[in-house]
Amino acid sequence: MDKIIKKKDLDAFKEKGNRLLFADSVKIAVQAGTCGIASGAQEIFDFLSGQVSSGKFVLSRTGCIGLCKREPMVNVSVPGSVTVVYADMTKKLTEELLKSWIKGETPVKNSLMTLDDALYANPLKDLKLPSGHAKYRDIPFYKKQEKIALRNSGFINPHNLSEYIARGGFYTLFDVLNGQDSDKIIDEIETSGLRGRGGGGFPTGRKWRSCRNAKGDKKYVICNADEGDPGAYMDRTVLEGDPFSVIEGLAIGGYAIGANEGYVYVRAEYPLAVETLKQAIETARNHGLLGKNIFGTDFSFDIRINRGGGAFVCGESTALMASIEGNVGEPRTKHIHTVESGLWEKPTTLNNVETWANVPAVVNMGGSEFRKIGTKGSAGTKVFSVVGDIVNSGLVEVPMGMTLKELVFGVGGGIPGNRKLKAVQSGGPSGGCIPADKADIPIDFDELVKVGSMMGSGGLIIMDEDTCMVDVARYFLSFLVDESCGKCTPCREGTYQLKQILDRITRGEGKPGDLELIEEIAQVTKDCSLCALGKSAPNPILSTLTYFRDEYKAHIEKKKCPAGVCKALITYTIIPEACTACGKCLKSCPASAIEGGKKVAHRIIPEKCTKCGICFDVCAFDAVKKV
Amino acid sequence: MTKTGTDKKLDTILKKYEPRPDSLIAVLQEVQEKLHYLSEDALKRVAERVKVPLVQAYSVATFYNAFSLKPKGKYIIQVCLGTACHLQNGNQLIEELGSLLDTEMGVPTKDGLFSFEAVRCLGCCSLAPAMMINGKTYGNLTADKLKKIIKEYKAK
Amino acid sequence: MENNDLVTITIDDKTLQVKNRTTVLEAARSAGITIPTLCHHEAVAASGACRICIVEMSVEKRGRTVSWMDASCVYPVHEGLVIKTDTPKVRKQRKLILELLLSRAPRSERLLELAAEYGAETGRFESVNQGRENCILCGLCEKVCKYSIQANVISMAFRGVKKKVTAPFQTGSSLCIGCLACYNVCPTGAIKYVIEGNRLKMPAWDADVKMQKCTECGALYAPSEYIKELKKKAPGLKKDVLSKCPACRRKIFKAGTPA
Repeated sequence: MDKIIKKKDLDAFKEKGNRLLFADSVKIAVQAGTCGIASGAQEIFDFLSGQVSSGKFVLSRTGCIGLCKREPMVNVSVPGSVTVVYADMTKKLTEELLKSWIKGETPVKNSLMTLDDALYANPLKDLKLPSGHAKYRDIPFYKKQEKIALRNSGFINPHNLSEYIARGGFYTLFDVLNGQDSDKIIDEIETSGLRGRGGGGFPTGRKWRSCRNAKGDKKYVICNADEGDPGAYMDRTVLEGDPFSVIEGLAIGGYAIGANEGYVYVRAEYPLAVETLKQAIETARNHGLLGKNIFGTDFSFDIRINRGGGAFVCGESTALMASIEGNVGEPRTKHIHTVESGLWEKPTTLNNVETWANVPAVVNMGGSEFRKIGTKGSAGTKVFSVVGDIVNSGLVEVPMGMTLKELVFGVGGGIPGNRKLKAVQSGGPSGGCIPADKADIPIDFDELVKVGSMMGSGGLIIMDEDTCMVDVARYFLSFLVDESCGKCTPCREGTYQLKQILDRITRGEGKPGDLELIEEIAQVTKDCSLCALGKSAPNPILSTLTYFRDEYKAHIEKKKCPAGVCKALITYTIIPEACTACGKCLKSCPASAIEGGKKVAHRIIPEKCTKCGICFDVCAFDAVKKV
Repeated sequence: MTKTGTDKKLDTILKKYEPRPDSLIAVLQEVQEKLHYLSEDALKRVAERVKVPLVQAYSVATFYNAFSLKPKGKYIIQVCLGTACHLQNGNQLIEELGSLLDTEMGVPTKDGLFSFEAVRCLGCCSLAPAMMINGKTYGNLTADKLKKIIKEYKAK
Repeated sequence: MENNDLVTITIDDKTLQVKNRTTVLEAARSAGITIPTLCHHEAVAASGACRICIVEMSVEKRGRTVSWMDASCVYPVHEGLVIKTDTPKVRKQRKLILELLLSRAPRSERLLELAAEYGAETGRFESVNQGRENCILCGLCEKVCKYSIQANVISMAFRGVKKKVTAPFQTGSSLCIGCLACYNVCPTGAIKYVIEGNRLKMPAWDADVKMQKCTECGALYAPSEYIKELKKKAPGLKKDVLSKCPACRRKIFKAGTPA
């Protein structure tokens, strides 16, 4: 295997990579991230694999470009032309369009856009813009995005090292190892204002500096890929779409703090991410980019992968380290910081995937350039998974400081069916619900805290008016009850008791004084829990109590769920006048709780009804009412 | 005494890992994947191999969701209950599966073919509600789609 | 700053100098101030699990007072730290923590004693009956068994509200030597033992060990396996000293034949 030692070796890979990225023949790259595959990308890929022997095109795969709602997506480039992205693809459509593609044509059918942005430019020559297609920046979803962490995802083949190098990859590590001292790199990171993207937002440079200065014969760097917040999949996408950026980031970090070993702790629920990363590490090792004497220097560095065991708490740094050591994932108090005594009681620097993916870009562009993006307190961009009741659900990377409103209605395309926005949930189970009337706040670590939520790792759940906020709070509480490690009293018992009370309230058994009791427990859990998981556990309940107290009161006092979600508090009935006796609900009811016949208005038998709502969903005549 | 197939499988797995405590979770993961659960005997042998007391192996095996001390089905259906799936009524899938497979959460079907469990977010939120069967993800699920998928696996 | 340097702190309006990085609990005790504890024991490293020892702390930072709550058993002191161990807020939080613990261990004498002191009520919360009666999952028994005795009989299994202390597979363990360290450190009286005939039994982990007879007077005085362990750990002792019951040992010592 060709070892990469000198700059000319990198250049050779770069040339090869550019030839692959901007091929002389028709090239089809299927976006085959987890969500792509689940939407049918594998089927398309398999079909194309069967056709590739014709020699009329080359086939490749790439990660996700973000607009998950429109998957599967296929990137097609014909010689001399800018790549076209096709969306909502099927095997049948691929079969049909392939006939044109191999002729060097790019029809507009199912075309989403061209990748004409500077980000995807061919460094060697100008490419022709195929006519009739929307441009990258014409698409509202991409118009205001600025990609740093996601710079390569959906464009390069994640398994191909030369394509990563063609995008400038590993040149930064080369420069760093050849002539920069570690303090200077830490200076750059400090100047950049980069803050940890995993949740806490701790200044990355300061963390690195403390670890660099800590006494220890051995030090470690860790990549936290235990992306546990439900509704968040930024890290999964980076690992599936651009694993080398994380490897390069870790190596730069290792050099800066003086570590020769790195760990990636990744969720086992992400099998494709694990596999992609595993292969990338292997490839990097084979080419001498990991291992002994990288680029012929004194610096040696290697990476191991640890798969998580399905415990949300392992996203907490001390619990994660305990887990790598082979123990249960219980956090310990952090009065002695992990940068001084972390993994195996050695100085350890832990950052998440997105942070590590940012590192090579930050060092490459220089701290002060990076600093220009974003806000005063939150430099750079942030990747968000925008999901829930939103038109363009997917993964976006925007400059910090964009307002939530802009993100939801501009980038996200608003709420489906023109319904009203009710709240945005950010920060996962540790975050809070931001009501629609506060949606004009800028996205920034500190601003989100001010409204009772937090940045977290970047999951944004958009909720429309049909969402019950008490149910949302109960959902997060039940998540936390399941995921609390159980070490300290306030988190173990406090979250459990909070959930018991919320269970009662959503069953219509709420009592006067419940809200005050909730607040009392929440305060203790917040003030007295051992780790950040417990301390932030009450946030979903406290933020909804602050902004949606009336909804709680309706559940408790009137035994009503205004959003019509809490099953115990709603009933379904069929309005005989509106019913056309079409029989659809009757056939769909899984509980056989609907009676009626031909030309006889249907009726729901209350005793049998499980309130699943299927009749409500299938009725085409609005005859089923929910009260 | 001749070794059973399970014993041989276990031997092969144990040999692959370095005999040190931090191998514990990785070994247990592979045993879980290959043998579908952690038997008392397997847990004891793993503990011995990686040089940890049995109590530690037991703590770990019961702490992490990925491990099961009881057999699971050949096909493990993981229903996503992440936030987006919750809002899209992912709970309904659990109920459907219960009646479809005639078993309850965590208990394998009589033929040992299936067991189902809830997981917290597969990261396919745009496809909510979603589930995963032995590593393969399925999205935009409905009751009908679910029936079809189960049928396919039964026919395998 | 090194750990031997002295720092000045204030506890409940008393100013004192203590070694850097001693815990707030140790500092308070040295000043004669009592802070209640449950999961704390000198024999093992503090874990900060039960949180009953929380106190209010504050520092002056850029002309501003920053205050927070934390567990005194694990918080290391630093220069200028101001600690208040018995404010209304502290008492209120301890009261609620006690109520939460009582939902799990409603009959523990120690908890009821503290409950009386802090005005904690029973019955405000649903009872949690997942583990052993009166067990508050403080973890002391697990730690002494693992680190002090190194017998590895029991550990915490499962997680969250379902957590419990148990021997592997929730059955008896043949590893128990009957040392009773777990019984001795348990703050809530959740661990019990009985002696039936010449057997010592601990129903909590189904342990059943043989008691040894004193070679001098014939009284059953300690579990045999435990004596064996002690002999291994104290090889300097004359072999037969440990084969006698404490009363007979004392007699020998008095007679002037030290081991």
